Amino acid sequence: MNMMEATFEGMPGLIAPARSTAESDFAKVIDKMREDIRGELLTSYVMSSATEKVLTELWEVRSEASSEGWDGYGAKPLDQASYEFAIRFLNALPASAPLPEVSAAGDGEVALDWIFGERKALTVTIGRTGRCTFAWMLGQSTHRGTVWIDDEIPAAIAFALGQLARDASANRVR
Amino acid sequence: MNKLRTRPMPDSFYPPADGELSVVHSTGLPDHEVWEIGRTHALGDQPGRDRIRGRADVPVKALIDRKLSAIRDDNPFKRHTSVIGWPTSDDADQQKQQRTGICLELSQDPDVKLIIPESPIVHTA
Repeated sequence: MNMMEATFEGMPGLIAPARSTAESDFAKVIDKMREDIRGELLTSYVMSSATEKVLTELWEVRSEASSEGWDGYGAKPLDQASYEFAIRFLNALPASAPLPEVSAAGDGEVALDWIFGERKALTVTIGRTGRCTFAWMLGQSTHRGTVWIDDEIPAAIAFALGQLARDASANRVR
Repeated sequence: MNKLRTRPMPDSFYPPADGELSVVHSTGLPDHEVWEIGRTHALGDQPGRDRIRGRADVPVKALIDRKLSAIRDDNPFKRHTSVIGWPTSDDADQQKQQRTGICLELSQDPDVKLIIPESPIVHTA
């Protein structure tokens, strides 16, 4: 039974949106339980306030980067469509996934960055078409790609975030 | 820089549309002179240029390792340098992806040092 594509394997407590193709009654009960737990987490004060904090930061970033040349070096204003896709992206993050730092890129896109430690980082820029350009590093390996966001976190980015979060979690345990 | 003030952000290195990232050739300069160049040439009345919160010191080797070049042109001011050689592609997505990868690597390179002044350097009229 492959219930989750965008999971954070190895990180206890992380709940990603379920994507089940299973049809048995038992699988449906498990799906329902998972969704109930996820709903509880999403509406809990701690989880929602963390996401809201990042959304507030994004809103502040948009205000700061709303005019041409906002950085003093000819940057484009933050694109409204990029902003809206970024909101969609942040809202689709699994409830207890690490949250990114948000900033405006000089080309009008939204930049999301996760830094977990030395040479352990993920950067995603979100464009006006929902295109997510991403790169991530774990040790000496650098990976990159281009994916499009729809109603959930693109699997390649969820995978990268999961790998980095799992590594960070493992290092905390040691 | 990131909130913990430990690393420069990847987008700090992303080149503008002309593919020339403006930097300063700081080799051999004492720290206070590097800041002075920033004070004189980076600060201004334009939005976003009211203060300097930090700088990234990038060894040329970090650029060469990524097939970039630093060309000192002393224009528009002495020691002005352009970082060029960013990958190009007919496919805009591909180009952005390649450049984003390089920027992330530079931001995470242990030889690239984030230097933060004791207090932000502020523009004074």
